[in-house]
Amino acid sequence: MDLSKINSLTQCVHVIAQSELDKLGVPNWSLMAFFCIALAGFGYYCLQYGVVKSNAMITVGIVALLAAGLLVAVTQNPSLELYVFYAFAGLATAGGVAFLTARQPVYAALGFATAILSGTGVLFMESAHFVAAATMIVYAGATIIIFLFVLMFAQQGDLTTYDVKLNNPAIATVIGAILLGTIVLCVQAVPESDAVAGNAATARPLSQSGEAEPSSTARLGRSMFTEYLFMVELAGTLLLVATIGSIAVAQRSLEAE
Amino acid sequence: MTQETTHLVYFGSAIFTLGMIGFLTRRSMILMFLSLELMLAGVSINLVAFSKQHHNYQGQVLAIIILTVAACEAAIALALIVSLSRRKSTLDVQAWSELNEIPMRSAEVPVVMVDQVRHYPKLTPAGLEPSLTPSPVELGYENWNELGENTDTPMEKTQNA
Repeated sequence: MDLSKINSLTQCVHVIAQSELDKLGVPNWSLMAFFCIALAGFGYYCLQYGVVKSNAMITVGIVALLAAGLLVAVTQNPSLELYVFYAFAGLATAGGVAFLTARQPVYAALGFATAILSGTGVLFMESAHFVAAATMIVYAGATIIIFLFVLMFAQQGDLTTYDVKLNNPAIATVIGAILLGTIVLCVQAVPESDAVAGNAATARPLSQSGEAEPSSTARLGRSMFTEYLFMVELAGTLLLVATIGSIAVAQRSLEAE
Repeated sequence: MTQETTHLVYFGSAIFTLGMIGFLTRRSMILMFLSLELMLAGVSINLVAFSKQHHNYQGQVLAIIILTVAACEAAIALALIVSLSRRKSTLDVQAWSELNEIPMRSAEVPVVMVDQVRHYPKLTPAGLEPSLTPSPVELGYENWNELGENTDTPMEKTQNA
């Protein structure tokens, strides 16, 4: 990079972007642009017209998913761990898509529950056992139940216009596709890190790796209540404030009676 | 980054993007807040992935903190939704779109004729008992606080008309 040429901010950004693009290579870059556009178009269609139309379509989808899993198992010969990880990740993404495309709010909430529970499975695979259990209890237990309760309390009866008609879906899908494409691009541009186990000497101090996999709940607790004690206190205070605030906000005022 | 971390970051960003699209497109307030929770879940998957890559517990602690914040947010959000839907008896977020700024002086504000007598408070000299001056409403100016500071402008307008 020639630093003497830079004399304005836009030029600087341009030079940096150019060097990053050079590192990435033109075929990769155009492939990513195509991926973005295709994703935006397909996403817009799914969002506007829905994915699931009938029970036959659900059956076809499940059969296709099973066939794809079988094909991967036969051809790629993955380890069981990897296989389960991809199954959970695919199920979570499918739950997210179902959450987005379902028009009935209750179905959308069930899609959300699927996404969160499958995401919990991924966390289990990543040896974050306590985080996985807590997520399952808090999200899939408390949050979903309360949201479903409010949904049934506030909306009895048929679909309303604001469930059917979305708020500018085209712009939202374009923004989402651009965001996803950018993240994928950036992750591909990052080189292999030295912070993998065994290479701690050459790694930067913040990304230095420890000795063992972080799978012990006891050590997680010790880390939380020694290094991050202030954060835990802060989170407790936040919970208290949120409780008081929600009671104050939801209270039926006397004038309205 | 290792292969595993890369795939986890892709997965987390996919979940985050789905949540963001949901937040931008949904109009029901409950589903908007559910999309927000989905975004938070994507972020916590990302944190756990980096925790595993670096072999320490920082990411997992941060994920637990995010979980706490999500619980707080759900409580506040549900209270807000209940109180908002009680007022307008709808969950549509666009029912509240008139909560934006209005123009300073719209054309529909009627021009009111007033005489130029204005009420000023009298200062009492030191050592004397203050006399209670009558309020503008008692003097007959019913809507004195809607007129603004300068009463010359409506007069000029009416004279020009």
